[in-house]
Amino acid sequence: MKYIKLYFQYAKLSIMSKLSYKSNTIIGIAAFLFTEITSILTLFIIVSQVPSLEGWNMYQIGLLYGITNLAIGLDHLFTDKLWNVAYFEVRSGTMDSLFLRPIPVLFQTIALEIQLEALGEILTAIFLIIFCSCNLSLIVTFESVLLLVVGIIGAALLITSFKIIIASMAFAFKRTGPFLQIVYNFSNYSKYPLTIFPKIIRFAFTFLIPLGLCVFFPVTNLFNPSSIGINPYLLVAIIIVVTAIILTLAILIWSKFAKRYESTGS
Amino acid sequence: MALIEVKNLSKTFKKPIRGNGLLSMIKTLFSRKYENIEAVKDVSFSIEQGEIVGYIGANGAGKSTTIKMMCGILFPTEGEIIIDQKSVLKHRKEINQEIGVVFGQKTQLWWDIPLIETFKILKAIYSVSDEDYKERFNYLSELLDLKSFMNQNVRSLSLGQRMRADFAASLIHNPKILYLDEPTIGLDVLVKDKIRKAIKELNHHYNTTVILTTHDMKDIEELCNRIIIIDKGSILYDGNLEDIKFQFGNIKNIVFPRFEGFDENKIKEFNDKINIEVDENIKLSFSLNDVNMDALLLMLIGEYKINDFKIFDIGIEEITKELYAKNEETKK
Repeated sequence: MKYIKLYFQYAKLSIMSKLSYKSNTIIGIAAFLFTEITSILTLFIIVSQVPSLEGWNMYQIGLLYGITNLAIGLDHLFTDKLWNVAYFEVRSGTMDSLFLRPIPVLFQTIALEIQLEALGEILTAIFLIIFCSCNLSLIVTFESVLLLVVGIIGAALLITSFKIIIASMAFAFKRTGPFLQIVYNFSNYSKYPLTIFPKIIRFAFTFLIPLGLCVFFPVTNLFNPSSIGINPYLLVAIIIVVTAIILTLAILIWSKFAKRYESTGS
Repeated sequence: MALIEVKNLSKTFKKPIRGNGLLSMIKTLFSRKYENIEAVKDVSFSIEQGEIVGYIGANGAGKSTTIKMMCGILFPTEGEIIIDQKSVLKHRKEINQEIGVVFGQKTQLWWDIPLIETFKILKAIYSVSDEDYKERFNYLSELLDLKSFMNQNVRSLSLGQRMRADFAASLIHNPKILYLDEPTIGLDVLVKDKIRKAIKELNHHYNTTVILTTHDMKDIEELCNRIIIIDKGSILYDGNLEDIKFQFGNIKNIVFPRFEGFDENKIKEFNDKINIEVDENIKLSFSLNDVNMDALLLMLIGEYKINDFKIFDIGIEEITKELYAKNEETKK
């Protein structure tokens, strides 16, 4: 309870700081809007040249793309500070003050920043989802929506977990930003239908980095439930369990590496 | 039972040995040899509630490393720190509730928002009750004169204002222990004075235990009843300030520019216990126990017509040097 209250207080301060640099924030949001719109247009131009891709039409691909981007955007909005940890904060020793507070360092790291730039991503994703849904006849039932919502939250938490794991390695190696960038870029693959990829990537995205599990199957379920071959409620349970396990693992790894934090000389 | 007990504390940093130049740096990518740098070696001391202790030493002596381990920021290689009968390593969060820290070089305030917001969130972080918060907030903002800039953005504060604010922020949860790592660095005399007064007042009012590192001898003289001197990671001296001042204290230095016709022997004749160093300047150092400074000055002014000179007390660096030399001697 204390932490929920505290989170909102941190969030308020973060937004206040962001708003003290108004134009910077607006430019940031606009930049992400622009990047997203151009990449969506590119996608549509390419996909519109082929009648269907492994049985997926343009709107279905757009929907999958939007759902994945929504998950990526949510992670971006809430946990952007982890990038700073991976790139600079350990090296410059600015995390000292976090280690001085009687609350968990990871909580503070995440609560310290609400990255408003991510609104650019989230807005385009929502627009894309609505636009594509209107052009598709989707099967909207309680279970398909539940699966989708759990899938989106699960995907966002998975991205966060991998960010936590790699950022925490910075406590030992000082700078893991470039490595984080590589792993983060992998999440782009789940914007496209899993079935177009070779088996190995399909396997990796279902079992190793189960983003496909969280996004691909729930979206497929919206127009072709029979093809996923698994009960939607069971899938919901699997996503929750898998995400919980990976997130817990990430937190454990973080607290292990955090013991190796060495401040800088002052 | 003492409030703080530091037992056989050591910290060793492992550093890869690097040569100079690009080629040898590339070499180190393939074969890594490490050297161990012992920043703190087997340090032990204990501190009682209500003490003000100066923890001093030259740059790189291991002061900040010790303080950081005592705060729980840095994990010791060996040894143990027990605060209020709890090990710092195992109870970081509980210990953090009991300590306040000010690093002179790093601020803990929220940078882009009004100062008052930092206090509000610290109240929530440390779960300070409304009543206590009000009392302390008023007391501290009065003591450190914060009212006039409470609603300004932290980034627009001057260094002096920021230090005072940082100081107050570290105390809002009424910690039992306050660590001050060079709290007066870069401040002007007036602000230094205000901070010193506040430290004294606070120690009196809340019985807060204060541990401070500094290079400013005046900080030590005005505040500390006990000092711990550390050099190259080991403790050289732990005890009363008066004693050490008596040992080395009364030492004065007189410095004036070198000039033609200066004769060392004349000074020696005057008193052979005066130590003379000649480079660009001439430096005379002596103990007031042996030398009558008034007579010496009269002689200098009378004989040499010197009108440009400085007199200063022995610095902590010199005391450390002397202590170190003494230590080496006794080892032999």
